[in-house]
Amino acid sequence: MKKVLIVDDELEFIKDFAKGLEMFGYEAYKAGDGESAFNIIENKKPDIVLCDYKLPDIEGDKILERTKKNHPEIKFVMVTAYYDEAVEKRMRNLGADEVVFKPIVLTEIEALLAKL
Amino acid sequence: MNIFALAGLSCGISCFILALFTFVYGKLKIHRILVVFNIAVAIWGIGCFIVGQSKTEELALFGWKFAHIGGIFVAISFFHLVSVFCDLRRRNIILFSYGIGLFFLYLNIFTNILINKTRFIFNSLYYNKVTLPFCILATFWFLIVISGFFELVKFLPLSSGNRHMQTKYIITGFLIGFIGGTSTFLPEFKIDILYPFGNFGVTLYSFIVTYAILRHQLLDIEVVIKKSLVFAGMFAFVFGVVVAMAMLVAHFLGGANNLLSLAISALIITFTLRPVETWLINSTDKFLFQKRYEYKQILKAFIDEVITVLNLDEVISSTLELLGKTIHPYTSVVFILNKVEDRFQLYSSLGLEDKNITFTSESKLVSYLKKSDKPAIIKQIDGITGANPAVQEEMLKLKAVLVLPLKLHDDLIGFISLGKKKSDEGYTKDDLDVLLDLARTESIAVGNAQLLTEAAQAERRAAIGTMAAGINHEIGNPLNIINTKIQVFLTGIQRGFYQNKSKEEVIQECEAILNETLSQSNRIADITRRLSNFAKPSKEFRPQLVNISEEIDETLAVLGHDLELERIKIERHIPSDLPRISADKHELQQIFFNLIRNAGQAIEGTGTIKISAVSSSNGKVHIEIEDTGKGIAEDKMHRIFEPFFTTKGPTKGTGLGLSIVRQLVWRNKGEISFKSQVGVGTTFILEFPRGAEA
Repeated sequence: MKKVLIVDDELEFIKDFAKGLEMFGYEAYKAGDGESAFNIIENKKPDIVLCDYKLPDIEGDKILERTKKNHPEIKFVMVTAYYDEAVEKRMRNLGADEVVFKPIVLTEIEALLAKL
Repeated sequence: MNIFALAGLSCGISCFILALFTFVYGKLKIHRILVVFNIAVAIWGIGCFIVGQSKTEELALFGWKFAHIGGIFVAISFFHLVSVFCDLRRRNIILFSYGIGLFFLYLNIFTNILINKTRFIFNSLYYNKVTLPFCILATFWFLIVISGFFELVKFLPLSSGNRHMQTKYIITGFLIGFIGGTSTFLPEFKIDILYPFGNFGVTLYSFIVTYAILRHQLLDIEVVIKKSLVFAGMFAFVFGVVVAMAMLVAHFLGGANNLLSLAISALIITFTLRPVETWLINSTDKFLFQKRYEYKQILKAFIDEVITVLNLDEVISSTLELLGKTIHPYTSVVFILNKVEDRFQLYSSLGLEDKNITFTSESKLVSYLKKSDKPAIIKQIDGITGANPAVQEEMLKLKAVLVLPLKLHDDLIGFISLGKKKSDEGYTKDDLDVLLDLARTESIAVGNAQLLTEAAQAERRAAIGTMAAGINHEIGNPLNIINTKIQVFLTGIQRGFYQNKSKEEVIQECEAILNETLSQSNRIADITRRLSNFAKPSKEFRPQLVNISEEIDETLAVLGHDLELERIKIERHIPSDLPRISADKHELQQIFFNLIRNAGQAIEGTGTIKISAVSSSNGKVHIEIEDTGKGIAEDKMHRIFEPFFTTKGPTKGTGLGLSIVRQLVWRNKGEISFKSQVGVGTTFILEFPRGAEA
């Protein structure tokens, strides 16, 4: 069973998102800020990280950079609030495997995760 | 002729002329009543003249009766005149008075009850002896005249401007007239101390009222007077030259030589007529129509002022108003270039019915104005030739006789079209010089105002950009929550995850989803309400008692998340018992929005914005917005309230923020100041007077 970490400060959202991912057969971990995200990455070694761009203590790109540096095998999906071509380009340059925009579409996420 | 007859005659003639004058040029109701009044007085004067000339008692009695035909209506029409002038609604009293007047008129003409005997006094005339009915008439007459004056005096402090001056002249004129006129009653009551020459006073009355007509527009006939005076002057000049030459020729050549004297006269007149005419026009302007003469000065003063106005609407409306007041054209229209559509659109107009006229760059008028620095004119004005027929045709559509180009750096940015003057005079070279000066300044003012409008729009876009981030966070997140929740539930159903669950469990799950959806949609509704409050444009200034704490909350609802996302901490120190202030809610929010946003933009990296408010001992509410940003350099401190001054990068603002903030603060009777230290931060201090609690 693949392990997925969801990082977002909207706790209600990650609760449901995790539930959805579990339905698709993933083991889901939840983090509300950068600090706990790093903890989980180090301790649980998730296969995939789904990370919100704006977080209370750190920006998503910092998490992306550090994750890719320390654990290049972890797939990283950046989730951002609204569509912006420049943001997408920048995230991909930083090493993001995928960029998705809110509101998320569950089935698209399912297909996307299966591909990674 | 005795003095009584002479006074009567002068009164009769002067009032008759005034009546004629008013009849020909007066258009208003009040002018028609003035005609009636003056005819009544003229009849009185002529009656007195007849009495003064009468060698028999019989003729004198006829004269008295004739005089009183007018006399009766002098008082009534005076009261009527006053009622209309002061805009009093005294219809019934006036009708009643005319009724009584007609009754006495009947008695006067068809019976001898009022006037039936005379006595010969002052060795020169048969004076009327009073009867009881005559006493009643006199009482009625005095009452009505006195109440007329009473109304006028009451009206005087209420009137203003020209109306005030008119009232003054009416009171003075009529008072002199009535005192003069009524003094002739004295011998009727056997008071023979003074010779009754008071009717001269009535003549004086007519002069004063004429003066009021000329100087204070009691009648709008300036032009007629001016033209007649200039014409009379020129006629006198030509006649004088011809006569003088004839006399000189006769004197020096020892006999009349009409041909020679006429030839010399013609020569002199040819060369001097024009300057004499100009001189006559200027002198009449100067002495009789000083206002007219001053218009050039007014225009010049306006030119200095308009340049400081930064609002396009204001620039244009004040220009049109000024042109209307000074030049009195039938139409005046301002066209401004719409850069996007590349056409000249009617921006504002006076006197033109069709408001949808536009001119493309290809139009004849526009091409003409682009090529030439001169105005486009219909008729030649002092050596400047008129525009070609194709251009004139387009000008006729605008009812224009003169079109002034508005040019900025050689580009045509608009034009002002002016119609014929109401005075029927043509435009002079002098007019053109002043108007071209006006157009040049107007171009700069319009250019400035347009620049400012564009900058204000950019500023608004920047503010919307800031708000958009807040909107996205506030609306996007709850939407995402609702959306995901529903998707997860539906996916669960589709994939059979609920098959093993009991009905109660599913209902419980649904209930949880719906409750969360409700609470998230409330979150959206709340931000939508706050945003629409915030974005509501406020055209009028509407001060009311406002709670500062609430307004800060509203502002933070829009701005706060953007700042939080930038990792800027917001501290609020606002006591719950802070007195309310009297201010326009919307403007106060704008003030806070700009100051808090500026504070946020001043902070690089993380930082804190502290918003505090206290009620200070001097009866004011003291608000501070403090940031831990980069501060303002000392050499820039004195410029931060200037429009367009900015220290921020090009994407963050155009620099109108603080100049607008200060205007808004002042408009709400507040004061704004700041202290700043580079590297430490900036504090903006607002002080508003406490609002008076009901």
